[in-house]
Formats: sequence, C-alpha cells, structure tokens
Amino acid sequence: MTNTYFINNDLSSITIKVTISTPGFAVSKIDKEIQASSTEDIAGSPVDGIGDVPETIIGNANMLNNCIIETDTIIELQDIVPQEEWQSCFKNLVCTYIFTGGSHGTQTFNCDPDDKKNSTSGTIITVSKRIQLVNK
Amino acid sequence: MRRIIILIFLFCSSACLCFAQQQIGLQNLKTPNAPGFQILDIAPSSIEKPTNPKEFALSVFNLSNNGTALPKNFAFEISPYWLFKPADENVYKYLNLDTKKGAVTQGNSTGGILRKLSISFASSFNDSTTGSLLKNTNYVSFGARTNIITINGNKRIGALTTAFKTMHTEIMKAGFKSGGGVSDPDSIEATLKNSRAYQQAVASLTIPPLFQLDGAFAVSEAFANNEYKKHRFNRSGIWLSATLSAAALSKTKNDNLSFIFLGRIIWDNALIDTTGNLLQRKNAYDFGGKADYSIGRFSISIEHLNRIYSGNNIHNSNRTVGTLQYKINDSFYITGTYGENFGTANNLITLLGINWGLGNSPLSAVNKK
Repeated sequence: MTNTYFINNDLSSITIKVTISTPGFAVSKIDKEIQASSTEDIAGSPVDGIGDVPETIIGNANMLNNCIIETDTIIELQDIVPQEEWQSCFKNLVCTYIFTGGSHGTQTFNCDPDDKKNSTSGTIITVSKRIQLVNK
Repeated sequence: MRRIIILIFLFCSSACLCFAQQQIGLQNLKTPNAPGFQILDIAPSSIEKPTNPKEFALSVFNLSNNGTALPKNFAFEISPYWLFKPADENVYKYLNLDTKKGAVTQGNSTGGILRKLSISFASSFNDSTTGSLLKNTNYVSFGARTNIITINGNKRIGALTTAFKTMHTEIMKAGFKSGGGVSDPDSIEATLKNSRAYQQAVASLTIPPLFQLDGAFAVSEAFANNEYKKHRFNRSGIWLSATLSAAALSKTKNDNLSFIFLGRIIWDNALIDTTGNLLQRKNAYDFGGKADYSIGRFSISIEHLNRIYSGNNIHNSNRTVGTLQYKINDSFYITGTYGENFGTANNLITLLGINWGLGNSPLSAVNKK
C-alpha cells in the first residue's frame, strides 16, 4: 500500500528514518523513484544486521513532488530464531518510517500487512513500504 | 525408506489431528517437554537442552493411549513475549549480544528472561497406575520456564560477527534489484541457499552459547475420575538447569557435546502405598545430569536423576533415560526414549514420537497463506 506524505513547495529538507524491530537479521535499503523508470539510491542500513536506517536527507521539498520513497527490508530468520517462531516473527514484525520536514511536520508510518511477504518456508521476510511525497 | 517413515507418521498424525481443533496448525503440534509435563514425570526428557519458547504451541501426548483426545491429554505452551510487539528488538538483543562502540561483545546476560519466558498448561489422564501417577486420575499442571543467563563465549561471538558481515553482503546481492525494489522472498531464499559463502556464514550461527542457565517452575493438581470435587494437590516444583557446551570451545562445527546439570526441589503428595493408593506430603530433591552428543542429523543423550525424599529414604528412587533423535529433514525429527522412571511400579519409559515443524508447507492447509 502506498501512503502519502504531504510536503510544501519550499526549500525544507525532507528526511527519513527507518527502524526495524525483529529478532531476525535485517538489511534495509531506501530508493527514491523520481519517475516510473528512474530510481536513485538514498541510503541503506549499516552492516550490522539490525536493519535500521539513521535519519537521512532525501532532498529539498520543492524537488520532491510526486516522488515515491521506497524502503525495502529483507529479514533472515534461519538459525537465529527457532523455526516454530518464524510465523510469530512475521506476524509481529514492527517497521516504522519517520518523515520530517513536510507540511505536517514529523509523521510516522508503519508497515501494513500487505507490505510484508514471507517465503514458503518462512525463513525470509521482505517488507516493501512505498510513501509518495505530494505537494499540499 | 525415509519417505515410508514420513508417510507412516503423517498417517498416524492425521488420525490424531482429527481430534484437534481446526485452527490448530500442524506445525504447532509436537511431543511435549514443557515444565507442566516434566512435573508429572511423563515428559520424554526431564532434563531438556536449552531452547526457545513458541508463541503458541499445542502438544498432543499419548492420544492413542486411551482413545480420548482433548482435554484429557493435552499440553500447550505460550510465550507472552510474542503477544506484544516489541518496538526495539534486534538480533543482538535476542542473542544476548551488544554492539556498543562498534564491536560485538557479550550483551545483557539476563536479557532472555522475558524474551524466552514460556508458560505451559498440561493434562495427563491414565487408566492405569504409572510411576507416581494413579489410575483414572486426570493430572492438570501449570508451568513456566525461561532462560536466566546466557554467556555466548568468545568463539561464538567471533563467529557471529564474521557471519553477519557475510550475510549482509550476500543478502544485498540476492535481494535488492539494481533498479530499486526487492526480489520475491522465495527467490531470495533460493539464491541464498545456492550461495556457499552465505551457507557457511549461517552454519556459524549454530554454535551454541558457552553457558546457559535456565529456570522453571510447575504446579499440578490431581482430579480423581476427572471430577472437580475430588481434586487434590499433586506436586509442585522449581528447578534450575545449567548447560555447558563444548562446541563453544572446540574448533569443529558439525558436532557438539553438552553437559547439563539439574537441581530441582519438589513439594510432593507422594504415593507411598500403591495397593491402597495412600498419599503423603513430602519434600523431594532431584539432582542429576545429562550428557548429550549430536553429530549431523543424529543425537544421543543419557540422563540420570536421583530423587531424595526428606526424612525418609524408603521412597528414594532414580530415573535413568536414554534418548535417540534422528533429524529426517528440517521439519521432521524422530525421537525414541527408553529407560526407568521414578517410583517402583510400572516405571518403564518407552516413548516413540515425532517432532515436526512444517512452517508454511502446503501440507498444513489451515495455515496456508
């Protein structure tokens, strides 16, 4: 599901911060989709397995109208979390996407059930969160 | 041969499942080892290797023994931690590690107390006197267990640090598309399975912690003829088990020798006369140990416990049980247990069971997404 974050047509810096809460090994990456065929890497999580992305500037608000910010996270559970808990990890996964600099200031988005997928065995979880920046 | 064994067990399992509620998934069924069963001396093992609790697991024990199903013979286990969505959980906290100052070190050793807390309920009904259990009595028990202390050891910490770096690199390559977006989870899993570097890294994660201290407590009531009016206190207990793993010291990766030491205090309404079903309140102390060796798919263990009753050594007894376990694949384990239980009457233990965890396998229609 694509959410909307309203921004002004000004020079305000728009930032994003991602936090992932899971006992699994997580890796995240943020892309900026300027047009349907053009994407740009924004940031990624450090090499630590936590999956969090520290506060990162996406750009100035007046340059971001209709851009889609897509945050993808991959979580591995194999040999970290017991197999019988994989479904619980999938069900109880918490991902928050915190935007600042927009029309309504700081706004927090959470991952929705349809943002999450898991592999047939359950060991791999993916989360894709798309948030569109729109001039108000 | 392996397929035949699986088919036989699936057939038996499906017969048992007919008694279970429809919303209970196949992967939630396993032979019980919860404190609720251990307090009744009917669990396959009285000294369990450290494990993690499940959000909700239902165990079916001995369903075919007397033709009845739930609720007379059941066990379920729940982990309260999974009922709440923790907002700041990560892999390091879960594994009792820390990443302060950029280096991976031993974290909060007691961090597993809430994370790995599990609560269990169990019931066992016997139509004949077995061990310390009277015939035609339904024993209902409540138990809890958790991990109190985990010390990872330098070998495990070093292996995890190296493994995490490799995993990050390989997941980036396998999962993220060059033009943005993420691949299908099944595709990522398949790619990672074919990555030798990744599989070697993941294998490092199986090195057990150097030391673990687990605690449990349980209380049980007995209901003669399964009637509430005839209930009485049966037994309660509190116990600690300490596990020392040689794998955290050795250089090889595919085998592990562990030693588990157990101490337990039991407040018992003990059966002192089997012919007259005479009971007497007594305190008992269990102490003993278990040696467990696993290599590849196979594991063998032997445990011995002494039970000493305070003030009267006539009823002292021992429990000596051997267990063989064979892992058919990631989902199926066959477990065989043989030995002598506590008590003097009908104290032979022979259990053959299967543990399974099918995840989202299509075999489990009720859980299919």
